[in-house]
Amino acid sequence: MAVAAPATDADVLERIRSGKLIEHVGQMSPSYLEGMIRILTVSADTELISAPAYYNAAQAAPHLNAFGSATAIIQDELGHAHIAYRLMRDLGVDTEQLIYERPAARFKYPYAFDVPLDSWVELVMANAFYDRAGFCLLGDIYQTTTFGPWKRALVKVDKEETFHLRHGENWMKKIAQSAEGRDEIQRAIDWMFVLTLEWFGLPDDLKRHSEQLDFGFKGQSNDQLRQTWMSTAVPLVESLGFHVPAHDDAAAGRYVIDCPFPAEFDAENKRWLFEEGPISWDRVLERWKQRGPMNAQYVDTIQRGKQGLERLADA
Amino acid sequence: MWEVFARRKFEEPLHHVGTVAADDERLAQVYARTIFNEFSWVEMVIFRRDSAVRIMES
Repeated sequence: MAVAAPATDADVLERIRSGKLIEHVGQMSPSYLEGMIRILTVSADTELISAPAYYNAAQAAPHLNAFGSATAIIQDELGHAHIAYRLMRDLGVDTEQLIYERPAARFKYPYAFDVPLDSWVELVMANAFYDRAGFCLLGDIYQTTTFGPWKRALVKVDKEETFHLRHGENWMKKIAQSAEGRDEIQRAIDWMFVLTLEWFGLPDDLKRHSEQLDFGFKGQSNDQLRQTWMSTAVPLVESLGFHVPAHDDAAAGRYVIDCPFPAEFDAENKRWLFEEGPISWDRVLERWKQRGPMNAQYVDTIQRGKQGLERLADA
Repeated sequence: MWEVFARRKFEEPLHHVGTVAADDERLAQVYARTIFNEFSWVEMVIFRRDSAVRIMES
């Protein structure tokens, strides 16, 4: 599906070592191209699927201005998806097929988005947690990626993701002023915090795609990115008096997760089965592969407009 | 494929802010305006990518 990448891995590494960026597919090796398509697919799919996920919850906005902010965030996310898919077109990927004809289960976004956001509180917590995770990942890619067109495109994306997570923080502070609001935020934190820890993927000792670091697709490892996320997410929730199953181990210079991790998750009831103890990452991969409750519906939301238009055009 | 250029201030030159894929000029205008709306630009223009004449290779 991709165009030919004529360079060798040695060519790519030499170009990177000399301080140049990779600007087009003619400067890529097959493995660089394959790895770049893989990481761009995850990024584009994540941005895209956040739109129906956020839209569902945005309909519970407390007033029109709040709905307006939520739809502005959704428009940003769609813009970010457009940017990433468009870069993939330059790499020879048929993005129309990828977006509109791919089976739902083959979309490559974090499992967290497959669990429905059912309220305004859950939407703003998604801004505070999920957009922060996106910001950590994309900020790292912006700093270190060797693919020039993506690096330049991420300047704008970074700026907008910052707005999204500030939106989450500001609403958390506002909602936390009432006892009822505090209970609702804590309930959302209880299932969303650990789901965001999972977002960063397999721990470093089990990670498979080493070319992501070798080729400079990203700078930090999965475990480092998980720490980066906790270094701002944990102080945020603690500063507002909420609890998370993680703490700062100042002596060790790292955050420590205080619950079984990874763990079994009951997606229907949005509840972690911590009482069953930790599970293997193989079991987590199995859950991710099966996808969660909203996968088919969200992908259908995206695909049905185009399919409906095509049916009308054919009639 | 279209290249999008914009500037925030009158004393600034136009600079490259991104690219959009669109089948025609009208749609490219809409995509450029809605995707690259991070600032209140004073000017935004789009060029067809294939109209570029390359003088040096990066």
